[in-house]
Amino acid sequence: MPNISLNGVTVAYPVVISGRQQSAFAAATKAMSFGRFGRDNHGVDYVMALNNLDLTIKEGSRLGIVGRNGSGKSTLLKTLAGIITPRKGARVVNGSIGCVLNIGAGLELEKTGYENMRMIARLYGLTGATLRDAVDEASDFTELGPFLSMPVRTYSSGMMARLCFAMATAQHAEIMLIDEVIGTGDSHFIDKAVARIKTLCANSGIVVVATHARGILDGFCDEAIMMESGNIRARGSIDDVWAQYAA
Amino acid sequence: MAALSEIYRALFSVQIWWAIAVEDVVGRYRRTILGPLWLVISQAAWILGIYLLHRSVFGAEQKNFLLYLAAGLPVWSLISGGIVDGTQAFLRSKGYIESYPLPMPLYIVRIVAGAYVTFAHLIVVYFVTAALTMTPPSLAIIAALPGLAIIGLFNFGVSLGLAPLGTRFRDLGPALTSLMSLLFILTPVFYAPNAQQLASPMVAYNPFYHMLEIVRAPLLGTWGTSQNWVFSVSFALISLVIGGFIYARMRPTVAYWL
Repeated sequence: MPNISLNGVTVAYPVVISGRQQSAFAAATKAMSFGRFGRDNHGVDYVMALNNLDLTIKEGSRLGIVGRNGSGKSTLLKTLAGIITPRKGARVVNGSIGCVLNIGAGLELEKTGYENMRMIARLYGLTGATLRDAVDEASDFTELGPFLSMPVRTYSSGMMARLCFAMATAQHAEIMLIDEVIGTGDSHFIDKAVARIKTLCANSGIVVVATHARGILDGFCDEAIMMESGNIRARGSIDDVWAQYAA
Repeated sequence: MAALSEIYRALFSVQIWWAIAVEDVVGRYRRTILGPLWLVISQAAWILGIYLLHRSVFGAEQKNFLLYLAAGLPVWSLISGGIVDGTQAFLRSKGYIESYPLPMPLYIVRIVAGAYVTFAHLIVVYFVTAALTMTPPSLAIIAALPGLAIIGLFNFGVSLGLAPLGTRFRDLGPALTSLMSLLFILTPVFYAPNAQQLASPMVAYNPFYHMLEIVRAPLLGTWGTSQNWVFSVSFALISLVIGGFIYARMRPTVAYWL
């Protein structure tokens, strides 16, 4: 029974402006001299990305996250995934997590498409026969054919995106966290991509998608939340939340 | 404890860290004909240079010294590489950390494994030298295996502590590189210490010297002194405890400072 919840979660990113703020010697000097020696820069500033946030997602949920740029959507997804640990509050999760966040991370330009797909599959936790099947299936999906045996540095950005997307959506997990990934690609590919994500969602217990596109919300989600300045301002049906977001 | 279970999960993700570690070493030499053989060649060139210098100063053929260098330099690379790369462990893995929910100690295991992969290339020079000088290794060479394991544990422990520290404080990496350069000279790596040097605190209380000896001595036919082994095991255990403690405390905020 997969479920995931955040209770009173606060995430604050430090904003480092000068090297002094990340220098061990500056910190040591200040500490050992009881604050005498050290420029008075009031330490590091923080950006409050998530502010005392509560969110519970039950099994069977298909949740969409909308919000303006900088409202905290990606941070929320990363916190749900466990990639970011909140400074305050707790994260409780039951079930395996799969994420489609920054696709393309881990891509080695000198290796071939197949080698990269195998590596990314490993990073997503696939092994053995499951890995082989996933790579075969994703290879067919990309329609890159003989290019898959060539180094990825010979690909166009659209081809790289196809490869990464194919592998990212080849994983199977009970909780899927997806961050606005259907971007580049020709219209033929986008149709295939949408169908693929639908299959992915159908096989998962919980799906959370962050997006700006109404079409994605209608296609994959049954409820939505709206983020603003690190808080959830609204939760409800897609129509209601979209009306508030678009206003 | 959450940190311990994370370390456990990381250690068992062999497929992932081994693949990245091998790629770290081998990937540097893609599109060159000799590939990782360049590692071996550069090590051999180093050894030849020091040997020729030594010979010009001390005169006479000294095959034992050649073997001493060929045994010692790879082991020093293993130890210092683990420490210097340890501070960069999370920084180099920034892309992975931000995209995949993998256990963080995985990126540290990758560094330690990578140091072993490099060592495996460099130790080839020792075997070639042993063959050329007709000095076959003795039975004592089996003691090199636990020696290597102890160094691996030390590297892991130290990196557990240094990786989050090196992410929070960016000048730690360069500072340690400088320190290891100094220690490379002060520790008897490319010269054989005389009795006076052996007794001095710089050598007797130098953990790197003892860890060097528990692998170098077996390669050269002796078992290493009990002092070498006791010091090395103690330092490995201390580094694991302290490193683990630092990691557990700093782990929640590492991702913020990348």
